[in-house]
Amino acid sequence: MSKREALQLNILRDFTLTPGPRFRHEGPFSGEQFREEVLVPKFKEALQAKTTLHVDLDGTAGYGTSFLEESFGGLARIYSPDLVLKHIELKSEEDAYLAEDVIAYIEEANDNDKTR
Amino acid sequence: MIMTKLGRIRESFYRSLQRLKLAVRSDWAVFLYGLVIGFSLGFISPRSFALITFKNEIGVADILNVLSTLIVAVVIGLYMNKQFSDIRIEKDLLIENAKEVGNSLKETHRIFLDSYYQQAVSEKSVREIKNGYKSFSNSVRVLENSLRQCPRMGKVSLEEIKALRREYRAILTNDPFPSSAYTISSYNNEDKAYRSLLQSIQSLILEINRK
Repeated sequence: MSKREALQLNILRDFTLTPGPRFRHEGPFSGEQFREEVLVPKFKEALQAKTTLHVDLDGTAGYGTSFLEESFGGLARIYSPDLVLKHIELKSEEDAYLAEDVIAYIEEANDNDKTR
Repeated sequence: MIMTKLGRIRESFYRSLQRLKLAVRSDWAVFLYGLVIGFSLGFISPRSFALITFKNEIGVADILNVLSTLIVAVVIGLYMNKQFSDIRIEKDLLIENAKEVGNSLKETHRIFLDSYYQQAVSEKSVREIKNGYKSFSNSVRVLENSLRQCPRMGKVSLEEIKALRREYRAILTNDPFPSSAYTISSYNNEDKAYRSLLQSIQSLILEINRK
């Protein structure tokens, strides 16, 4: 990857303490809202700067699979899993398997499309 | 009279047995007993027995031979003892960690059932579910790390539990969670995954213990 400084995205700081459901119509702070308002713009910025986007998942009240799948899986459905995996790095020290699970949602994005 | 004599013999036998038990606690005591009994038998046994003849002489080479054999036996004994002790410690540690995985899973299952029977998803139950699952998931990671630190347990695999763990996260926290209450289908899926996980944890504990 490029040696340029990576972009940082901290979900607690940049979005919310309490991530919610999958879609906007289901409740506040949804995965759909996070993807559209925070994740996609930051990811675009990382692509333009030819760098990676470091996403810090720690500090929130926890994530539902639906939130994670809609935001990160949804991102992979827009840009392709390979491109997302190439430009994104995930960190979670609080939930040991969270980053691995999110990577799996990205890899399996096209199998789990709820909007089809 | 006869009964009193029999009683005394029995009492004496039990006392000897107790003394022997105390002595057996010390490896050196066993070794010395063996040596004394061996020498005694050697001296009182007939000099020739069938085609085997015993000579009543001991050369320097014989003594060196006996000593080197004893040293090798003691060293091997100590080494094996340490090996067995190390393996037991590793097994105990891993079994304890595996039990912790089981306990976290049971707690998460209980939280799920509470939420399911309430037929409503409150802010409190959402947090409890997420934290319960996180605690279970992290306990699997602790077990995985412990397995990595115990190379003698090399072939013990966590893959099944890890795959089920991921499935369990989806069952607990995928749609309709957290916007609406768990459905009957959620209940059935959770129950199935919970039992599969318990079964896998049990099999893992048995596998570790067999090593």
